[in-house]
Amino acid sequence: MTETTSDVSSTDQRARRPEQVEVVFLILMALGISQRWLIPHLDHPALATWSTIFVAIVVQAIPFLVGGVLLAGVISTVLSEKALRRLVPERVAIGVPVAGVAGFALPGCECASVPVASSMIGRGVAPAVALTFLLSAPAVNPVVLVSTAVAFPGRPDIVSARFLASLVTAVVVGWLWMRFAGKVPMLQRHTGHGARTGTFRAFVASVSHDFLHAAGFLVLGAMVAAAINTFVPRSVIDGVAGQAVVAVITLAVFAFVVAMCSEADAFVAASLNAFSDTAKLVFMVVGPAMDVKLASMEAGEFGTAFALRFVPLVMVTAVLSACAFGWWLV
Amino acid sequence: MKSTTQAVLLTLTGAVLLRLAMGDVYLRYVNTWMRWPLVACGVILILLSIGHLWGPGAQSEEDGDCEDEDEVEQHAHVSSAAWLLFLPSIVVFLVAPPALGAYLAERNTSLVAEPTAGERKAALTPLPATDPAPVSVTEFFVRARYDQGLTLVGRSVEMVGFVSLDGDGNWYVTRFGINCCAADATPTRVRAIGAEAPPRDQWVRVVGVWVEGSGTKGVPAIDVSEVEHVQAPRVEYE
Repeated sequence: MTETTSDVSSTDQRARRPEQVEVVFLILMALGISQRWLIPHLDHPALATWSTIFVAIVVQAIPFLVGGVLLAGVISTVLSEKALRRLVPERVAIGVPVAGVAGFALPGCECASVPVASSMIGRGVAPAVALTFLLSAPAVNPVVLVSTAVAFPGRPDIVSARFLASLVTAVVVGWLWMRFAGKVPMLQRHTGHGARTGTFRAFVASVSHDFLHAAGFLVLGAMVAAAINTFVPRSVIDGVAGQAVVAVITLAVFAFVVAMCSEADAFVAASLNAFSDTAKLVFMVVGPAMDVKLASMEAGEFGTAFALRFVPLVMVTAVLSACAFGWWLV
Repeated sequence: MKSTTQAVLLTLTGAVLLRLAMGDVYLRYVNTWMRWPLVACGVILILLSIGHLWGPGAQSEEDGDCEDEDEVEQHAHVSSAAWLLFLPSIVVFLVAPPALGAYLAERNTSLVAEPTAGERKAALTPLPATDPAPVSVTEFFVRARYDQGLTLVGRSVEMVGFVSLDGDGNWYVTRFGINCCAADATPTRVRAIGAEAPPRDQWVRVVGVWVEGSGTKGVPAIDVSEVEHVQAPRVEYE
């Protein structure tokens, strides 16, 4: 099982084919050496401003991302899924809100939530309950709330609105699923992880994986947010941001497309000064609940028939919930 | 992305964060209190990278049963989005992004920073007795706008900011205020009259008197008696 053809061919071609890491090193060194020649060409105020905003978002968010991923790693190695399942009540109607609140205690990046939900279902947890947990864990955990508080200093109203809107989204989707989605086919691919081969190795591996995965999407979100602030003409931004409905829809779409980790999306939201607080709230509530990354993972895990119903349901619920709490609390 | 490349990426990112935080360069992007979180984060990333490469059993990818291999593969396989993480390090290296300046201040003139309750309270206290009294640009703005400039009348004040211009040939003493990081920076401007405009983006120390009546609705103005070119302060954002 272990010897593969690629092993054999890579030994043959080792003299000619460079390793991936060598290519990376070469590129980095080339950039380093040509730095002095490149810098004058890159000295343009718009590019400099974009770079500053871009780097600022990334630098600000990374410590929170690392914190969140470490915490999630600790919890996933310490807490087995069996224990999790024992905590879930029998009656689904009660299980849904319990799962929603449980998300508070269990920080998990979005990347982990789909496999976790899938293995919960595989072990007999009702789908509605597992899906509620899938929606709430990335969105209402303490790390996310802390980073939201840091991104919006002196605005406890935004932090609480985000918490409540996300929680309500998770619970409402769970209840709706319980009530109306009985016949929707869900594939069962996952039968749960086997024994772990040494907790430290699994821990380091999962933390690195989660961090790199999330950091990539953070960079993408930061690039787009910085470009909005630097390159898009002010008149366009003010025009879009000025109309309540258009602003909300724009940021909901932005959140879906940009697929940022929930620990970091508050910092991007805070950078969008032109938009109203409600629109920013929509961005922060939609992001952890549904984005391209989650949609494709869910389609892959549970099947397209599931995704076609689940994705729109979550998007609409998230937007409405965020608008409602934004209007009420902020 | 192979395992070794992941380790390189983690180390590079950690090293860049450490480098930014050990000096004062990080102040161009984030608040002062972020220094130690950034240092801790940089160290953690580097340790993670070491653990990734040399931790117990990390190299043995030829374990017996399928489940092990699945798990290792699952963890070693990172989505291609992770490659993007090279970009911030490269940008810091190549562009060395400067603190925000006139380009953004001139773009964002429609934004007005709402002062916090604390800032408003501080603005109501009388200025210190020194002549000229040192005042921050934001404070000057708040006093002119929210207090009808009562505390500013007839007082000679001293401000430090950078020069930004507008389409009508006016120049302004400008400062950015940030809440969270440079991404949410809002500029505050005070129009300077009575002196020739220094070069755009130049940091200046300006001494002058508040132009009575200005700033209650729009941008306050200062009648300048003295302009001095200075170095940018260590913490550029207010």
